Amino acid sequence: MRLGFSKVLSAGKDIGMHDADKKAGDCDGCIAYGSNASNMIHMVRSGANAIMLNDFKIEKKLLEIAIENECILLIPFNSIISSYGFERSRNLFKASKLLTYATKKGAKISFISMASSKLGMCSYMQLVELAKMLGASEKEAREGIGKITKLVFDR
Amino acid sequence: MIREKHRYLLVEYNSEMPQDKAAFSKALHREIMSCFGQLHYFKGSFRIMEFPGGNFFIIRSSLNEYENLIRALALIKKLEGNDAAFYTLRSSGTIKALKQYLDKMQNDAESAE
Repeated sequence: MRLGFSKVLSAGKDIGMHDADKKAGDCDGCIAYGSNASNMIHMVRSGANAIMLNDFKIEKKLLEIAIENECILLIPFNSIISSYGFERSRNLFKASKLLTYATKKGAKISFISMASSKLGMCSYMQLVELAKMLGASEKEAREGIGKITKLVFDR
Repeated sequence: MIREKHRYLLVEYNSEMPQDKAAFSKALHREIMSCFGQLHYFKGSFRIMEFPGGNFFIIRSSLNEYENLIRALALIKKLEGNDAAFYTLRSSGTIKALKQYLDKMQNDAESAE
Protein backbone atom coordinates (compact mmCIF):
# COMPACT_ATOMS: atom_id res chain seq x y z
CA MET A 1 0.00 0.00 0.00
CA ARG A 2 1.29 3.46 -0.84
CA LEU A 3 -0.07 6.32 1.26
CA GLY A 4 2.04 9.19 0.00
CA PHE A 5 5.06 8.22 2.08
CA SER A 6 8.18 6.95 0.40
CA LYS A 7 10.49 6.42 3.34
CA VAL A 8 8.97 5.62 6.70
CA LEU A 9 6.93 2.65 5.56
CA SER A 10 9.96 1.05 3.94
CA ALA A 11 12.34 1.93 6.78
CA GLY A 12 12.15 -1.44 8.46
CA LYS A 13 13.63 0.15 11.55
CA ASP A 14 11.97 0.28 14.95
CA ILE A 15 12.34 2.85 17.67
CA GLY A 16 12.06 1.63 21.24
CA MET A 17 9.17 2.88 23.32
CA HIS A 18 9.35 3.08 27.10
CA ASP A 19 6.33 3.30 29.36
CA ALA A 20 7.00 6.08 31.86
CA ASP A 21 4.20 4.89 34.14
CA LYS A 22 5.97 1.59 34.88
CA LYS A 23 9.58 2.57 35.50
CA ALA A 24 11.92 5.46 34.94
CA GLY A 25 14.90 3.76 33.39
CA ASP A 26 17.42 5.12 30.93
CA CYS A 27 16.05 5.33 27.45
CA ASP A 28 18.70 6.80 25.21
CA GLY A 29 17.24 7.40 21.77
CA CYS A 30 13.81 6.01 22.55
CA ILE A 31 10.30 7.42 22.78
CA ALA A 32 8.96 7.91 26.30
CA TYR A 33 5.22 7.70 26.73
CA GLY A 34 2.83 7.83 29.65
CA SER A 35 1.43 10.33 32.10
CA ASN A 36 3.86 10.21 35.02
CA ALA A 37 5.61 13.57 34.71
CA SER A 38 8.55 12.88 37.05
CA ASN A 39 9.44 9.64 35.25
CA MET A 40 9.09 11.38 31.91
CA ILE A 41 11.44 14.16 33.04
CA HIS A 42 14.00 11.52 34.07
CA MET A 43 13.68 9.83 30.68
CA VAL A 44 14.05 13.11 28.78
CA ARG A 45 17.19 13.90 30.78
CA SER A 46 18.57 10.43 30.07
CA GLY A 47 18.31 11.01 26.33
CA ALA A 48 14.79 10.22 25.09
CA ASN A 49 14.32 11.41 21.54
CA ALA A 50 10.63 12.07 21.85
CA ILE A 51 7.80 12.11 24.37
CA MET A 52 4.19 11.15 23.92
CA LEU A 53 1.54 11.96 26.49
CA ASN A 54 -1.47 9.97 27.55
CA ASP A 55 -4.63 12.03 27.46
CA PHE A 56 -2.82 15.07 25.96
CA LYS A 57 -1.92 16.49 29.38
CA ILE A 58 1.50 18.01 29.95
CA GLU A 59 3.13 19.65 32.92
CA LYS A 60 4.85 22.97 32.43
CA LYS A 61 8.14 21.69 33.87
CA LEU A 62 8.20 18.63 31.60
CA LEU A 63 7.62 20.77 28.53
CA GLU A 64 10.39 23.18 29.55
CA ILE A 65 12.86 20.33 30.06
CA ALA A 66 11.81 18.73 26.76
CA ILE A 67 12.48 22.02 24.97
CA GLU A 68 15.88 22.36 26.70
CA ASN A 69 16.86 18.84 25.59
CA GLU A 70 15.47 19.30 22.05
CA CYS A 71 13.07 16.45 22.66
CA ILE A 72 10.20 16.12 20.20
CA LEU A 73 6.63 16.21 21.46
CA LEU A 74 4.59 13.62 19.58
CA ILE A 75 0.90 14.19 19.02
CA PRO A 76 -0.77 10.87 18.15
CA PHE A 77 -3.99 10.72 16.16
CA ASN A 78 -5.07 7.21 17.16
CA SER A 79 -7.24 8.38 20.05
CA ILE A 80 -8.94 10.88 17.76
CA ILE A 81 -9.46 8.44 14.91
CA SER A 82 -10.60 5.47 16.94
CA SER A 83 -13.01 7.32 19.23
CA TYR A 84 -16.47 8.52 18.28
CA GLY A 85 -18.97 11.25 19.16
CA PHE A 86 -18.39 13.24 22.34
CA GLU A 87 -15.20 11.32 23.18
CA ARG A 88 -13.66 12.24 19.82
CA SER A 89 -14.75 15.83 20.28
CA ARG A 90 -13.14 15.94 23.72
CA ASN A 91 -9.90 14.42 22.40
CA LEU A 92 -9.82 16.96 19.57
CA PHE A 93 -10.22 19.77 22.07
CA LYS A 94 -7.44 18.46 24.33
CA ALA A 95 -5.05 17.83 21.43
CA SER A 96 -5.75 21.28 20.07
CA LYS A 97 -5.04 22.92 23.45
CA LEU A 98 -1.81 20.93 23.83
CA LEU A 99 -0.66 21.92 20.35
CA THR A 100 -1.41 25.60 20.94
CA TYR A 101 0.40 25.60 24.29
CA ALA A 102 3.45 23.68 23.06
CA THR A 103 3.76 25.78 19.91
CA LYS A 104 3.58 28.95 21.98
CA LYS A 105 6.39 27.67 24.23
CA GLY A 106 8.52 26.77 21.20
CA ALA A 107 8.51 22.98 21.42
CA LYS A 108 9.34 20.73 18.47
CA ILE A 109 6.18 18.91 17.51
CA SER A 110 5.56 15.89 15.36
CA PHE A 111 2.28 14.31 14.28
CA ILE A 112 1.94 10.54 14.11
CA SER A 113 -0.91 8.13 13.47
CA MET A 114 0.21 5.49 16.04
CA ALA A 115 -1.78 2.98 14.04
CA SER A 116 -2.04 -0.44 15.62
CA SER A 117 -3.60 -1.95 12.49
CA LYS A 118 -4.09 -1.20 8.82
CA LEU A 119 -7.41 0.45 9.59
CA GLY A 120 -5.78 3.03 11.84
CA MET A 121 -3.31 4.20 9.23
CA CYS A 122 -3.52 7.62 7.60
CA SER A 123 -2.16 8.91 4.31
CA TYR A 124 0.22 11.85 4.25
CA MET A 125 -2.56 14.20 3.11
CA GLN A 126 -4.79 13.05 5.94
CA LEU A 127 -2.07 13.58 8.55
CA VAL A 128 -1.49 17.10 7.24
CA GLU A 129 -5.19 17.92 7.30
CA LEU A 130 -5.72 16.46 10.78
CA ALA A 131 -2.79 18.53 12.05
CA LYS A 132 -4.30 21.62 10.45
CA MET A 133 -7.62 20.81 12.07
CA LEU A 134 -5.90 20.96 15.48
CA GLY A 135 -4.62 24.43 14.69
CA ALA A 136 -1.23 23.91 13.07
CA SER A 137 -0.32 25.96 10.02
CA GLU A 138 0.35 24.24 6.69
CA LYS A 139 4.12 24.66 7.18
CA GLU A 140 4.06 23.39 10.78
CA ALA A 141 1.97 20.39 9.75
CA ARG A 142 4.26 19.36 6.90
CA GLU A 143 7.43 19.90 8.94
CA GLY A 144 5.87 18.07 11.90
CA ILE A 145 5.29 14.96 9.83
CA GLY A 146 8.82 15.10 8.43
CA LYS A 147 10.41 15.15 11.89
CA ILE A 148 9.47 11.59 12.73
CA THR A 149 11.22 10.48 9.52
CA LYS A 150 14.41 12.17 10.72
CA LEU A 151 13.99 10.50 14.08
CA VAL A 152 14.01 7.10 12.36
CA PHE A 153 16.92 7.73 10.01
CA ASP A 154 19.24 9.96 12.04
CA ARG A 155 19.82 7.44 14.80
CA MET B 1 -24.36 33.29 -11.29
CA ILE B 2 -20.82 32.21 -10.49
CA ARG B 3 -20.04 28.58 -11.29
CA GLU B 4 -19.04 26.56 -8.25
CA LYS B 5 -15.45 25.34 -8.25
CA HIS B 6 -14.75 21.73 -7.44
CA ARG B 7 -11.86 19.61 -6.30
CA TYR B 8 -11.49 15.87 -6.93
CA LEU B 9 -9.90 13.43 -4.50
CA LEU B 10 -8.37 10.04 -5.27
CA VAL B 11 -9.25 7.75 -2.38
CA GLU B 12 -8.12 4.22 -1.66
CA TYR B 13 -10.48 2.19 0.48
CA ASN B 14 -9.84 -0.82 2.62
CA SER B 15 -13.21 -2.43 3.18
CA GLU B 16 -15.54 -5.05 1.81
CA MET B 17 -16.78 -3.57 -1.45
CA PRO B 18 -20.52 -4.05 -1.72
CA GLN B 19 -21.76 -5.41 -5.04
CA ASP B 20 -24.04 -2.45 -5.39
CA LYS B 21 -22.00 0.73 -5.94
CA ALA B 22 -25.03 2.89 -5.23
CA ALA B 23 -25.38 1.28 -1.79
CA PHE B 24 -21.67 1.86 -1.10
CA SER B 25 -22.04 5.49 -2.15
CA LYS B 26 -25.12 5.97 0.02
CA ALA B 27 -23.43 4.43 3.07
CA LEU B 28 -20.33 6.59 2.58
CA HIS B 29 -22.43 9.74 2.22
CA ARG B 30 -24.23 8.87 5.46
CA GLU B 31 -20.91 8.55 7.29
CA ILE B 32 -19.58 11.79 5.80
CA MET B 33 -22.73 13.55 6.94
CA SER B 34 -22.30 12.24 10.47
CA CYS B 35 -18.79 13.74 10.50
CA PHE B 36 -19.77 17.06 8.90
CA GLY B 37 -23.13 17.58 10.56
CA GLN B 38 -26.30 18.30 8.63
CA LEU B 39 -25.68 22.04 8.55
CA HIS B 40 -22.34 21.78 6.73
CA TYR B 41 -22.94 18.73 4.58
CA PHE B 42 -24.94 20.50 1.86
CA LYS B 43 -22.10 22.99 1.21
CA GLY B 44 -19.77 20.20 0.12
CA SER B 45 -21.74 18.97 -2.92
CA PHE B 46 -20.01 15.60 -2.54
CA ARG B 47 -20.39 12.99 -5.23
CA ILE B 48 -18.53 9.79 -6.08
CA MET B 49 -17.60 10.33 -9.71
CA GLU B 50 -15.87 7.14 -10.68
CA PHE B 51 -14.48 3.78 -9.62
CA PRO B 52 -11.32 3.58 -11.77
CA GLY B 53 -10.54 -0.01 -10.76
CA GLY B 54 -8.82 -1.63 -7.83
CA ASN B 55 -9.73 -0.31 -4.40
CA PHE B 56 -9.99 3.27 -5.57
CA PHE B 57 -12.65 5.85 -6.20
CA ILE B 58 -12.71 9.49 -7.18
CA ILE B 59 -14.93 11.79 -5.13
CA ARG B 60 -15.89 15.36 -5.92
CA SER B 61 -16.13 18.13 -3.37
CA SER B 62 -16.60 21.88 -3.46
CA LEU B 63 -13.33 23.81 -3.31
CA ASN B 64 -14.17 25.25 0.12
CA GLU B 65 -14.93 21.93 1.76
CA TYR B 66 -12.37 19.53 0.30
CA GLU B 67 -10.00 19.85 3.27
CA ASN B 68 -12.82 18.92 5.61
CA LEU B 69 -13.65 15.97 3.37
CA ILE B 70 -10.07 14.68 3.68
CA ARG B 71 -10.40 14.91 7.49
CA ALA B 72 -13.80 13.24 7.46
CA LEU B 73 -12.50 10.35 5.34
CA ALA B 74 -9.64 9.87 7.81
CA LEU B 75 -12.15 9.61 10.67
CA ILE B 76 -14.52 7.10 9.05
CA LYS B 77 -13.74 3.62 10.36
CA LYS B 78 -17.08 1.84 9.97
CA LEU B 79 -19.30 1.44 6.94
CA GLU B 80 -22.63 -0.33 7.34
CA GLY B 81 -21.31 -1.96 10.50
CA ASN B 82 -18.16 -3.32 8.82
CA ASP B 83 -14.60 -2.14 9.43
CA ALA B 84 -13.46 0.30 6.78
CA ALA B 85 -10.64 2.75 6.14
CA PHE B 86 -10.24 5.45 3.52
CA TYR B 87 -6.89 6.92 2.49
CA THR B 88 -6.82 10.12 0.49
CA LEU B 89 -3.88 9.85 -1.87
CA ARG B 90 -4.12 12.95 -4.02
CA SER B 91 -6.31 15.90 -4.86
CA SER B 92 -6.65 17.67 -8.17
CA GLY B 93 -8.87 20.03 -10.11
CA THR B 94 -9.50 17.43 -12.83
CA ILE B 95 -10.39 13.76 -12.90
CA LYS B 96 -7.92 13.23 -15.75
CA ALA B 97 -4.95 14.24 -13.60
CA LEU B 98 -5.98 11.79 -10.89
CA LYS B 99 -6.29 8.96 -13.40
CA GLN B 100 -2.84 9.73 -14.76
CA TYR B 101 -1.45 9.68 -11.21
CA LEU B 102 -3.16 6.37 -10.52
CA ASP B 103 -1.77 4.83 -13.74
CA LYS B 104 1.73 6.03 -12.84
CA MET B 105 1.38 4.68 -9.30
CA GLN B 106 0.23 1.28 -10.54
CA ASN B 107 3.02 1.13 -13.16
CA ASP B 108 5.59 1.98 -10.48
CA ALA B 109 4.21 -0.75 -8.23
CA GLU B 110 4.38 -3.30 -11.09
CA SER B 111 7.95 -2.37 -12.02
CA ALA B 112 9.00 -2.56 -8.35
CA GLU B 113 7.69 -6.13 -8.20
